[in-house]
Amino acid sequence: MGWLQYPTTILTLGMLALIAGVWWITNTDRSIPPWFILILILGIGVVGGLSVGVSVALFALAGMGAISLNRLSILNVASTSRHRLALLGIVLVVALLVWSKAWGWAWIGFSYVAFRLLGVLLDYRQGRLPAFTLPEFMTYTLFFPALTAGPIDHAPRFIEELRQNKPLDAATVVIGGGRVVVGLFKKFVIADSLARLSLTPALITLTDNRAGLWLWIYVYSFYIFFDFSGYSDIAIGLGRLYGITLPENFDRPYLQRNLQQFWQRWHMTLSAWFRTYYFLPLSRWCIRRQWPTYLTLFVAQLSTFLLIGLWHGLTVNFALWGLWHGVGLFAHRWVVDHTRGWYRWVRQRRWLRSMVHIGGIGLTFHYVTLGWVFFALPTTSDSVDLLLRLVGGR
Amino acid sequence: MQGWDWLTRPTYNWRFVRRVLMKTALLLIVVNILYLALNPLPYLSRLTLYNGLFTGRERLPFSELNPDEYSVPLHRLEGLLASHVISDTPKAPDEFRVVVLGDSGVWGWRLQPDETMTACLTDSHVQIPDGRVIHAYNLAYPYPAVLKDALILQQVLVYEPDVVLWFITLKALYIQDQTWHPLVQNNPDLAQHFVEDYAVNLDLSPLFPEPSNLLGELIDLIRDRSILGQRRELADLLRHQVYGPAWTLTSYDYEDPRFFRPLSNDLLPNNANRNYTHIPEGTDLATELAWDVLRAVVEIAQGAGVGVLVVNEPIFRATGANSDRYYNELYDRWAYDAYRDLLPIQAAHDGWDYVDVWDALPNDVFSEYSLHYQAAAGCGLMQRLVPDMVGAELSAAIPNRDSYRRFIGG
Repeated sequence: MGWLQYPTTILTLGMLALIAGVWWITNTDRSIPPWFILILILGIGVVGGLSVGVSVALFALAGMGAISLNRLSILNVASTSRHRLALLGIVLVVALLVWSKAWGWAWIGFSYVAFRLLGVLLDYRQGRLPAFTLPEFMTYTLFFPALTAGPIDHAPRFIEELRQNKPLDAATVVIGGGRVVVGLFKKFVIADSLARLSLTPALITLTDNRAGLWLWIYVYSFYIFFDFSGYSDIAIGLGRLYGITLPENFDRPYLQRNLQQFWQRWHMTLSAWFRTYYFLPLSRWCIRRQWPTYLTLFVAQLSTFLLIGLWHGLTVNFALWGLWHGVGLFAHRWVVDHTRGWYRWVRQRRWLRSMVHIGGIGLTFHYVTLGWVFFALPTTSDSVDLLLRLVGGR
Repeated sequence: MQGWDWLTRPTYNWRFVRRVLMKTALLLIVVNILYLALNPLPYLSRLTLYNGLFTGRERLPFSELNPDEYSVPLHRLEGLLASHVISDTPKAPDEFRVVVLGDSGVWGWRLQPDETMTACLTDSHVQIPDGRVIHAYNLAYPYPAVLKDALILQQVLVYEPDVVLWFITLKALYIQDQTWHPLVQNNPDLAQHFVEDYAVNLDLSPLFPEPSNLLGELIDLIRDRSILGQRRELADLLRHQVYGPAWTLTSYDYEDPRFFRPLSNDLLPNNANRNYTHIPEGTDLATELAWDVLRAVVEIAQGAGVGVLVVNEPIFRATGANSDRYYNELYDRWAYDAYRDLLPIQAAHDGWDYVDVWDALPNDVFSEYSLHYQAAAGCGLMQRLVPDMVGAELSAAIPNRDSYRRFIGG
């Protein structure tokens, strides 16, 4: 699972160089405080287990590079050139992201780092990015509470709050600390207990009882919610203790009445990122070319969720999981458009409205839960086999 | 933070934070002291959803923490037995109840619960001459150590076995290995009672390290008896219950490693594994092995009118050039031969029934370890032992054992 990459102790030199490079492209003020370079390089040396000699050599090279770049005309390039530079950065980050997924690199949290960098590059291209220093940018990109599993914040908002340098007061300790405690309970007590019954090919093969199979997918559904939202709670709570209010990532997603509401409350920062930087620009592009509304919607939603699926990992199953949700959202939109009159009639009848709402929650939960079959199992044949067995088709 | 109003609504100050931290610390201390005073772990261990909401376990839960096996390594005997099917199976009038003790080979290493020799014996529905049908229960637990078996046996006598079938091997009798076993280490009081009540000549001091001073004693107490100290046991008890649905729906409690290195017929010094203990030639095994434990176990069982059949279990027997030194990855040949020579002498001396089936299985049925064999081989072995089990029950019922032996012609 991309968002739960196996942790390693080494933040690679490459990732730090990439972050510094993106900062270089997107900012006008490129002066690097020498102390920062020193700490950075020695830090890499210590964390990466490099010898003092190698660390010092890296320090010297980085220093010389910084001085040289400061003297180059790159500082004064024209706007179109900067756009090209930004595009180059986007291509580089996407290529690295794809490469890391395809080859299973263990860069901790790189999926999230890459999306932060892409967001910055895309904002820069749109001309809506303020200048910030390299330490600020590094802090935003590698902010440790959110490094491994998000949430994905926006750089301008994050850095503005960082600059406020909020003091640690009692309310922050209670709210941030309380959130961390809740997150720890969700992750290490509930999720880790449910993880013991996690959906695996072996468990599916050994279970010859359909009710049992349904139990396993329900368990997985709650496992993944408590696991991921627990991580997010810990990140948000820790962020708060550091004076940063990270964006919320989950808001009772399994209690939503339709799939659209679900995606507004599940991994909210990822879906918001895709909405801002991919879905809306693509939809606008299609509309400008006067594509039919449903074709626009179909292409935009399916491709958005295909990419969300592939962001989790470059496998057929993640792609199918994404398409499952893309198709579901498209179908939901079609049904909504064709049942507006009926729904207006239902809304005037209290009990009927409640029943439809409860039915909607149940339907949405089950649609999402069945979708996890693709997410949890490694192969398509395992997933299809399980889905067929769940409905008595095998 | 949406949805977090309960946390964000009030106004907090440092006084509030101090109060919360102090109350939390106080609560932690009070709860730990209460827990320490009440020592509820033995009672908590008996609380189980198995044999009720979930199916009882067919063998004692054991795990090497592979993620795909639905078991955790519980080490409190109460917890182990509470989830076992025997603790909730009333004895039928026509049941000949056999409790099987032993090590990993008997527990069923590399086998699923329904493939073990115990399961095979039950599934065979063997009827003994008086019409009762054999139902065997697997109470074995991995790693050989007779003291561990003795502790289990003391607990299972309440389930009215007719016969205890006890598989032993030389390694199970090594005195230095008795206190090492996790079941013994985690049930030191039971071990101490056993040793004291039956005058067993075993040094249990490794189980009860002397605290250096009062502070050391306090630290030991907190480590052993508080919630903080027992957090692992408590977590494992919870995990054990969590695995209940998986066990009930899959009957899968052990992940069989797909690949293993088959046993070599000619071991070299560098591939005799960690299980090998070299015993210097000439060592007097009559005094160096835990025979006392066997004597005490038979005494306990026969005191309860339960027969014990001691079985010297089959081993892999190398024939290569180095086989004198490495008979297998466990033993020197001379040591194993000396042990076998001693078995009938000790049996006659202490009055226990035994069967020596050390060479009953051909080498090609062993898997990766000299005490682990294939399901079919174990199954056949059990069938072969049935007459001896019946004899052991009779033996326990007859006060004059010599006359019994004459009766059966032994």
